[in-house]
Amino acid sequence: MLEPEGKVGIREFVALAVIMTGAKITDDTPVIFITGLDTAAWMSPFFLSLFIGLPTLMMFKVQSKFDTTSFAEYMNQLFGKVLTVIILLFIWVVFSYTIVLDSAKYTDIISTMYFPETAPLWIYVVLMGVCAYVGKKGIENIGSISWVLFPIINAAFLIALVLGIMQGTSEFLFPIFGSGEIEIIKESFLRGSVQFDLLLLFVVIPFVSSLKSFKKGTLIAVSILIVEITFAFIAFIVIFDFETAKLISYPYHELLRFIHFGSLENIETIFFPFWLVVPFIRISVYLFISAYIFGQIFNIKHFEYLIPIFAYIIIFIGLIQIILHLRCTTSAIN
Amino acid sequence: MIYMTPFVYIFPFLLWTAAKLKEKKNHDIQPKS
Repeated sequence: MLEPEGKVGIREFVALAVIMTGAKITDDTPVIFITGLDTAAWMSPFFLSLFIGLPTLMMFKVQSKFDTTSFAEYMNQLFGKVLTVIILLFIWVVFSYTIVLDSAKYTDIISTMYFPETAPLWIYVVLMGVCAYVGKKGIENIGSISWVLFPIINAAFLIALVLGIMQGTSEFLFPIFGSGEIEIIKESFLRGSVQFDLLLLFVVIPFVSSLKSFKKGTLIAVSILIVEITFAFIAFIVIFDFETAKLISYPYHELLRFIHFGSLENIETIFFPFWLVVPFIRISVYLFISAYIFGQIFNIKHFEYLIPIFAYIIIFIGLIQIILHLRCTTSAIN
Repeated sequence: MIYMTPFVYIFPFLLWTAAKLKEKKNHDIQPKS
């Protein structure tokens, strides 16, 4: 079935949502969970989904009460123009800062793990340049790319995790409740910010073919994500043990260096290209959403023209992050 | 990003409460037949 122009269907939406939120497993987010939950970190996705269930349900309810799918329009009807602008500006500033942090993080991963000889500036420029180009093409194109690459990316990811679980030590998962049952619930609740991406998906409803597709797509994406994140946490704990995992910046990339396929070692270069697509898709869609929110605040119809400018500004702010990180690392070595 | 946790939980609740209040207000101002 053909989708209306500029909109994504349920398949593309699911792929986009899973890649957008699932990408967090490959950066330093698992470390935040393992630090608070020890061996029980793998249970947190389940509890987190329970906690985020109610807010998501509320958002669905609010959405179904209005004829419009535009986030800004129904907020206008509820809070008035001034308060809507203030709330949207707050969301935009926080979200833009998230793009700065995430893009700097991905540049750091590519630079330190795979291209240590290349200057981070050039990696950053290429990353943001490509993302700005893809983001400007619109969500329809990003959705298509996500759907085409979704099976390959996930297959590579799951193969790496399964190899990690097989080659790890299952005893590292014990004690099964880590620092305690109450602690699991408390720490999972406190890490609800990870689901900020899920709330952001409500901003892109006007770009999804129908509200029904959006609801169904969100449920499918969340189910896939729970399984994926649980598997990832189990793999990180059995391969490194929770004490070591706390000290690693990017557990997924370290896991790729540990695993081997029979007599084949150093297979991280096989998995690297599949992973590399994820940051590109994630930052592209982030840039698109950021420009869309900005367009809604200041009534800019062709908001996609803002994307290259945003990318340009993000490079400069992100470079400060990288320089600060490098300075920290250098002073730690010295 | 941990500072966004309160926002993630409170914002949907605020939105939902505002929608409920608006619905109630619309219902109240409807003329009784």
